[in-house]
Amino acid sequence: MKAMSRPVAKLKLLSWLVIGFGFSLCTALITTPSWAADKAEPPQKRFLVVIDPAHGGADPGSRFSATSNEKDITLAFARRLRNELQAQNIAARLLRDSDVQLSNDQRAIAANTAQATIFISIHAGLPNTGVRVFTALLPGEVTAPKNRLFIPWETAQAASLRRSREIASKLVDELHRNGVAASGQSAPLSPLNSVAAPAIALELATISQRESKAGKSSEELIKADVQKSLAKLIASVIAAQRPAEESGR
Amino acid sequence: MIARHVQITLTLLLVAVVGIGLYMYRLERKTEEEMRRASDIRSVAPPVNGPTGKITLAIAYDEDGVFRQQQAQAALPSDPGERSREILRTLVSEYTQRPSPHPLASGSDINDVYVLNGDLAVVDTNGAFADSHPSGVLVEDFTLFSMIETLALNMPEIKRVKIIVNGRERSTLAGHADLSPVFDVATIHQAVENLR
Repeated sequence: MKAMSRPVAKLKLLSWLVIGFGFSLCTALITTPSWAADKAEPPQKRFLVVIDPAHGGADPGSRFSATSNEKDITLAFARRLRNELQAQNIAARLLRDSDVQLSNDQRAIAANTAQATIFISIHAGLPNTGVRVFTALLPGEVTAPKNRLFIPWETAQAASLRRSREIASKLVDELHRNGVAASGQSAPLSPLNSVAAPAIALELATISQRESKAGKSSEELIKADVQKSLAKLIASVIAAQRPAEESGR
Repeated sequence: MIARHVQITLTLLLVAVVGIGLYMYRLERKTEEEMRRASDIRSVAPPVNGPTGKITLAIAYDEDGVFRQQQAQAALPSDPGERSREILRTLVSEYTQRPSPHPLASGSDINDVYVLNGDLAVVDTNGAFADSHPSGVLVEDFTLFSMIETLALNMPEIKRVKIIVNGRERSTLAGHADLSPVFDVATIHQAVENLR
């Protein structure tokens, strides 16, 4: 009996080995990119808006009165914008959601690491009222690098500058259409130059000098309903960019 | 009789107290000196002798968000650095007067302008210029644009401009406008043209 059971055991072991090898082979074939590429749809670019509430922590930004600092206004508005974007089913992330200080390099690194589709930096300032939309100011001769493996840090925006300007222009047009004073221009403003995605900066100028000197608080300076309607408007313009950005234009 | 180790401890404490006192005194003097320098509104350079001439200033209008050209008279020495300094000082004096379309704090001034290789101007502003500059993206950018465009209008040989404060590099003018790059005059000129 013993002599008979040994070949059976060997056969069993061999069968298990064959089954195991076959399973591994199937798994490898399914997960091999070249094979999968023939079967699967081309991967769709994730649409992520990264919002940068400027300043924070020991850096208050502009001081509008004894109790009102730019850093508080930017954070309040950034939160509203995130909520409006999320309401439109758009993924949005804040670079800071509390009163912490981040360097401009840290902001650009965070946006690039998150692979932002669109980067929006929020500022608030005098004079006038309305929204000023800024894009990066790069020297005329800087063009998108052919080799995308390494991008110079100071001009990482070059490849996306055209799209940044298009988005800024559409935003200014839409704000005008809705009766909000708006202007667009280039500015040497960090961290725009180092963001490797379409990037704009907004300066909310909804504070009058008179109100600021009267010592009104940040919440009062940009009234909640004004913030909400502005955030909604900006979110709708960003949402309209989704098809173009997802198709990799 | 006081124990030896207590004597040593007390001596060390006494030395530390005296040391900290001296350090605090020096620190206070240094702070006072820095504050005095920052609030010093006296002219930082002697008046320049020589012929005067007409120059063109690119004046920023904050309320309208535009630039307009304006003629002015300024001393025009032959040295490119001195000439550039006089042109920029004339511009800054327009902004420190009241009322001003783009207000800058009184005492804001240009320490010096160094023209290197014939086409690079290094503009050294005084501490009051940057420390008391209004904070904001638009107002800070307008100051840079106005200075660079004014240089471009009157010193066409200058192609690049670097701005420093009190002889040192500074990351931003007043928290917004990035001072780290060497500005390309043609790029700034294009930006100003769009705002005319």
